[in-house]
Amino acid sequence: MNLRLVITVSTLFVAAFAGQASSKQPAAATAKTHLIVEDVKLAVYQRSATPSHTPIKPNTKDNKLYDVDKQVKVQLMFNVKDEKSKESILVQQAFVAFVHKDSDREVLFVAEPEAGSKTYVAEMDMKAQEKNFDGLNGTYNVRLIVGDTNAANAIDWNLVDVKVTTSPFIAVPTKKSQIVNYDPLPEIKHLFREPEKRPSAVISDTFTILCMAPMLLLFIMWLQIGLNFNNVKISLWSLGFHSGLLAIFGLYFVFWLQLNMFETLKYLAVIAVPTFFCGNRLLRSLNESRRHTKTE
Amino acid sequence: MFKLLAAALLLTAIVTAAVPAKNRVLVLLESPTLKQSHSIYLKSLEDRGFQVTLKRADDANLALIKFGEFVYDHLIVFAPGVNDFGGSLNVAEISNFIDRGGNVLVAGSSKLGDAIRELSTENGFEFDEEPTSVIDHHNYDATLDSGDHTTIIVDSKNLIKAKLITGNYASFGPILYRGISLISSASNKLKLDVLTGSTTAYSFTPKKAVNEYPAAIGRSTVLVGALQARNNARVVITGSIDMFSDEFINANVAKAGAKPTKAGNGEFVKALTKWVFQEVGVLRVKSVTHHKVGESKPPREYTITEDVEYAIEIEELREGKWVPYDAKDIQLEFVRIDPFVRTYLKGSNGKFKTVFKLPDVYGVFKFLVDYRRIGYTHLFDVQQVSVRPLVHTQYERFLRSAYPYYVSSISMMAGVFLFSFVFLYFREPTKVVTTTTTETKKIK
Repeated sequence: MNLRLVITVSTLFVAAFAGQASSKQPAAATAKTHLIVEDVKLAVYQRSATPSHTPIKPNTKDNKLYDVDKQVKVQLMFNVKDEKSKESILVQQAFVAFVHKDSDREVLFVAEPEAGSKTYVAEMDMKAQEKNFDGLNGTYNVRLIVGDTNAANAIDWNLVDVKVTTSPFIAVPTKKSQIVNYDPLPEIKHLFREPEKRPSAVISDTFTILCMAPMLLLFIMWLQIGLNFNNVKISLWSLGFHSGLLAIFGLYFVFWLQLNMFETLKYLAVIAVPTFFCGNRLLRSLNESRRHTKTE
Repeated sequence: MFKLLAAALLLTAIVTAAVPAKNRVLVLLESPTLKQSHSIYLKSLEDRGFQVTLKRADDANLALIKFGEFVYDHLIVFAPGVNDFGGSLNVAEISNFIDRGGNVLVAGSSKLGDAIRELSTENGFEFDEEPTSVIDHHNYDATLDSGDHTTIIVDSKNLIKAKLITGNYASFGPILYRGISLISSASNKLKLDVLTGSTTAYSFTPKKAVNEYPAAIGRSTVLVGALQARNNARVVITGSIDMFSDEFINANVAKAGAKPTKAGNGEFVKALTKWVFQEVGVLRVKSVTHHKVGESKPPREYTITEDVEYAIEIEELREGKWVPYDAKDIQLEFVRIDPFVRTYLKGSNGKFKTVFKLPDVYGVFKFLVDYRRIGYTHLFDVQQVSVRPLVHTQYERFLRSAYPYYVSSISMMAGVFLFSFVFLYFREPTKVVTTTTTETKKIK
């Protein structure tokens, strides 16, 4: 009976242990490692020079702002260690992210372990990589991102800031038919043509006076040689003729102001016939009176 | 009597129900279990008035377009693993459906079939290869994740800043996501990355160390991508069918060690579906008028440098009703091949107007309103008008520079009139004759 008891108890124990081994839950909880990143060395150096690494203490930030342009290579070396055993381990995710400070643009690099050792190296040759920055210069936060499914924690550590200057970025112009624009475009106000320059008023007025001059001269010379209206004969014909002549010139003036040729010709026909008739009579009467005085 | 009453009641029921006009939705399911696992989402569709038809993706009677007419207005594809659709449905027919104005919502997962890959490539987004998933070791849900950190929590700050598409993202919690990543290319000009992963996310085979550069890393892991085609048809593609599931909608998200908050999946998928099915963000032009300032009807043609008043009425669809649209950034362009004038339109109660002076260039112009904003349909209105140069009677009549000519002509006319008096009535003064004295001398 003792043996049977021992056998039952031992089979129960074995079964319990077997069951425990096959159930993952409690085993997984204890197997998660706590990650730390140590032995971080950063080198920002000219392409032709040799790297000189500056160490960065864990969970601190190097306050120097490094200048990075296409002549520069950046090399970051680090070890990911288990906090308990202090051994270097390999993890699934080891990225170096350059995140622009003011916008949400970022460039990420993958750090790979050196052959043979478990030290991670991320080497960025800016000459080849600067096209990934799309011409966006400025301060970038350099963040080390480490994670693993077997780890209890994940690391997102801003190591240092760099000031990136890329060579001038020539954007490829898109075809006008393919542009999709979600913003309002700049306002356009039409620039009206300046009116042509006119000659100054002085010149026009001078010539206006010059054109009036002959008439003034006419009056002056008439007075000089002597005028008289002794032959005047106030009759119907003279009145008719002179008023008709005045009307014709008045019609010309009104034609200049607002009429068209058809209306003018119409009015002219109406005025011209009596004017001609009166003029004819007037001349006849003048001629008669002249013959009268001659024969006397 | 009863038949009449029944008919009248039916008529009033149809007329008064606020049912969206285009409301036939076809939902393709990979397996019947999706009816239970996505019941909240499917029920919300029916509650909003849609006629939802659930069918298996390989059903032999599937057809979107029959005899040239739409059988359904919208399509939801919840069949990530399908390689071939059933019936007459295939990727070409779905593309034709979109070209003719139908809206499509596609959900994938880590196990993706060829048909879904092809469908998303047709619409400008590519899925990552199998068997990748979106992984984020910094933002995974402690309760729902199975250990490979693929059930990720996406903060609402990674959403596109367009409330029309995403809903009021400031008010809802983080979004749970489990699935595959989309890759969008910058050459696709019509795409919208609605939801992206955070900087720490990446798309790779789970539980494998990253030994090559992932196809999608950091913010370029697109989780939900959208496309509004040039005919205003909307397509939304996402890599996680679990995002729509009851489990995720009801979940409380919690990172390891943090306080749980309610997941924002419910509000997010509701707002997203409203946008895809064109219930929000739809604009239309009610009327356009243009005329000279002071008149009310447009003339046969305008003249250069005239003052013109232009008014456009725009309506927006909100909860099934067209209401006046309100915005401050609508622009009017006056274009003859290139724009000559571009001004903002001032709006009140849906009527946007402006007054401006036509340029001093003549030709055939168009009043162009081309309004494209994220989340809204594309509003495009063209009114063609002629602008003629000045009629010969519209120039300046009297110029100071021409005064010499005026004066010359008038002085000539006046001179002739006065000369007529002088010429007719002047009498030569008689000469004093001295011959008479010599004559009298002779006689004596």
